[in-house]
Amino acid sequence: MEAIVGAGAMSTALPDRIAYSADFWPKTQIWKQLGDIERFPPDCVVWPNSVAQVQAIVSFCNEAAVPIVPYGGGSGVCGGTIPIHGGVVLDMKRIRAMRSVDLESNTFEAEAGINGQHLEDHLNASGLTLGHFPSSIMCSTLGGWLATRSSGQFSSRYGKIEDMVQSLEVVMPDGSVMDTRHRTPGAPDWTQLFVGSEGTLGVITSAILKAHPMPEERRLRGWRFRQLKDALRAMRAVMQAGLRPMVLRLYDPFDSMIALSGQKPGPVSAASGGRAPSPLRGLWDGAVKGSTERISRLMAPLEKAVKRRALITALSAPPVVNRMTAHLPVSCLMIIGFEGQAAMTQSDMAAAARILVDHGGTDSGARPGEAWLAKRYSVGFKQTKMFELGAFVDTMEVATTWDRLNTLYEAVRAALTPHAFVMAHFSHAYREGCSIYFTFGAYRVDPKRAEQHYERCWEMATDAALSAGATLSHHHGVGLSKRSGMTREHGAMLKVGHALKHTLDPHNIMNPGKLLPDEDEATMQTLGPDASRQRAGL
Amino acid sequence: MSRTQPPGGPVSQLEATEAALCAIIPADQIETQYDMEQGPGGAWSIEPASEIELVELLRWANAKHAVVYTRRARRGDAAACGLRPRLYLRSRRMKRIVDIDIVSGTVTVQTGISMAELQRELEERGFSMGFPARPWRQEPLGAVLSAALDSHWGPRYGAMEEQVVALGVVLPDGTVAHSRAAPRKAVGPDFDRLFLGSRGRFGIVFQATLRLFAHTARSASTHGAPSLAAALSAARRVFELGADLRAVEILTAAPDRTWGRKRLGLSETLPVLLLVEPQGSPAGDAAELVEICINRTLTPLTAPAGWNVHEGLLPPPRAWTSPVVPASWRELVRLAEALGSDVPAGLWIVRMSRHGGHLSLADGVDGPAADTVRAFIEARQAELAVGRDLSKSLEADLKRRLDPKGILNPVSR
Repeated sequence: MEAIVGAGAMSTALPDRIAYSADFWPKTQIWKQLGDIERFPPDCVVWPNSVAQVQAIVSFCNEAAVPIVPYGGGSGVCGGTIPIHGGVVLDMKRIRAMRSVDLESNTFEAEAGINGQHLEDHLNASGLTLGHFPSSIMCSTLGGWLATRSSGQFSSRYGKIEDMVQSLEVVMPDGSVMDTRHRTPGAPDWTQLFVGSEGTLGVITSAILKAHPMPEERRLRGWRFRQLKDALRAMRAVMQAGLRPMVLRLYDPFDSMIALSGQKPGPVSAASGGRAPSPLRGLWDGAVKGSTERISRLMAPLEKAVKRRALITALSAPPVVNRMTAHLPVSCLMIIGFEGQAAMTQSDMAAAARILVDHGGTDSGARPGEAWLAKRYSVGFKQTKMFELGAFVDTMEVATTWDRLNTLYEAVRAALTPHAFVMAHFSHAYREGCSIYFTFGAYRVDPKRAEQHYERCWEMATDAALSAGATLSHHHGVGLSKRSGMTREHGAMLKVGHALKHTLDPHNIMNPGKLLPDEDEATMQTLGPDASRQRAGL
Repeated sequence: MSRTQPPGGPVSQLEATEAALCAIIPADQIETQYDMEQGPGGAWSIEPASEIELVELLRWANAKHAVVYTRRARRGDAAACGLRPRLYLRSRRMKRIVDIDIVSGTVTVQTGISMAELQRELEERGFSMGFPARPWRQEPLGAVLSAALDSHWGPRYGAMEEQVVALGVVLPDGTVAHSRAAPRKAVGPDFDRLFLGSRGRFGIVFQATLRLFAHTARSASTHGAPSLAAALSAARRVFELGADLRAVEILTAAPDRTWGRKRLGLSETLPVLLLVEPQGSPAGDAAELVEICINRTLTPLTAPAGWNVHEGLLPPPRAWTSPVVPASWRELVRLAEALGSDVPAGLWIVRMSRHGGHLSLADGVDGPAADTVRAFIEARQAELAVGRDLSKSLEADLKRRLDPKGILNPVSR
């Protein structure tokens, strides 16, 4: 490895190996809470800086039968980059050039390791936008987006990453390079067979994608609906009228309350450290109105303790809390936004407003939409606090056609209700259907049972979603967390997956154990944390 | 079914094969293939009427090393297959509309239905497909999905794949595989893409769920341009509006009488036609804005009687066999610059987006402008040929993996 990338671009140091042993999969957070911080460390980490180096590394690993895990930003939430078989983690972040921008054709070619926000900044400088804004944009890469079929928050207008990509450059497991832009008539669509393969078929090194002109204008508004069903019908009507909002999100009653709690009148002051006022803080602020700043500071730890106790109590009794939140007298919040040329944006927003009024919506003005836009990247960072409390929280983004959407929502809620506190929002709306983004959390006094409880929640939710005819993932991917669910979802179609894997990667070196069931899975579970150490050879 | 002794194979062997087929499929759905040389293995055209019959047939073919074609018989098939029995599948009995989901805007249908029949059924309910039915009027949907639609007759509403929400496929070993209908997914690669456009070599698509569009919300406008550059420039402005466009095409009059200048409403000074079909009302006021945007520089045309703009495509010019190549917008602009005010007859740029389009030129067109376009097409073809060997080799390996006995459309390419 040193001969290929140089001594400074590889590491076998334990801290590096630990850093690359997990992504943002909540289950790994549970492991960490239990003190298990090095369950699956790789044998080494390499940082190649060219496609030629990637080719050399892959060829070497292919000959030596060493597993390779391609790694982008490590922001995945499904365990897709966990090196369960050890081997080499191939961090692509140094292969990050913007190769070309074609302003006439609105396309560009970029290397896979480029950071999402940097990519968008590059395009913005040329007057273009990709239109892809996942909440992980600042800590994820283009290659990671492509490998997992990622989606941005503006997918209703711009589509998902698979809609944006024109072709790929892929280093194949034997070290050769494939350019998928040359599709022979009658040949399979290799681009779409590599997109979503999560590093199991090859290493994506660059891609040509479509871009769009920077929007001239952006308009956002919030709407309230008394009934969730009415709001869902309104969403469908907007999409099927041919309108293409950049964002169309609908929160269920409890999620609406959370979303609205950050939008109390008055700007967030600098003195508050940029924190938005929470409902609890609002109550507290009212109770101590007129108190001195000193008293407030003295009471802060108490407020924190009360919040902590309240949260733990709520998460310890999910059936009760779920029943209560189901009957909250709160209307559902919808955020709708359009962007593009001013005339078209105005006209589309007016057309959407007519549809929403027809379905019983009430206009709440621009503030809810603007507040959402301002905080759209900050959601994920709140999860760490939950784990610090000894609780766990996770998200599940399922999708289905409009006719099954309400059934899916009810089914997953019912399945999770006895086990975890659950709320949801509907986002990523399309002409044929929509995604539901469930957030669920629970607390176990005995931390050792947290992992078991977490798995139980996923099992119940997965069963419910599959039975309701949904796909298990709209944009997070499969990784380890949904591997068994993927097998059930695809059924016999998985034969194609196996055929692809065996054809392209006969030695099973590319991210082994992901997407498809692992042949020696039982062995791995027996070996557990020592698995990678027992795989000698590097 | 009745049969006489065909030239070639021993009667007893052929009779045994027929008897085996009759055990799977009712005899009235089997017909001995006499129109071409039958060969020693025998050849039959077979019309399975259900998924079960199709599955059983493929299992039998797999066990017996028979060859299954999803196309018509061709001269040379017998020689290519030797002693292996040949089965030519006809899908016309599998044409049931399984479900029209008006809530989600999808239709699930067996792929033996002809495009015209499907279009008629949908129109009766106020819907239409993303495919123009007219060019493939008699073709079954399965053939359209399995064919490589890189021709003029590709769908106008985005790529063919974008019209498909889910597929039902029978793999060569008789396994039935269904993909899940969802608007978008992130559960591994999109396995449907292996079957779309790959000419039935990896599996037989027997059922498809397609997107539907409201039949009443369609309107198209046509505009005359003095040059290709002017037409491209106007199209560019339309894309920049950000409207949801279903189709944008640029064409010139055909060299034969299928669509002459007069029929299109073109003239010496306005030789290029720009066709724009925005998503109709109530999608904002897209149609009106598009009209305003184009009419700043181009001349609006009135679609002449007999030309069904809503159906979309014109009848194909005779002997139009030229290749269609994808071209980026930059390449199209360069071509327009090279052509100047001169444009050849029979030029067609279809499936246009803000990123480019697919371009072709009719056969039998002469002159310097035609030579320029032809040279452009050849250059694009040469560029696209680079790196094909790896793709072909992987494709062959994948075929061997999924169809080790090579029973499904083995020599269809």
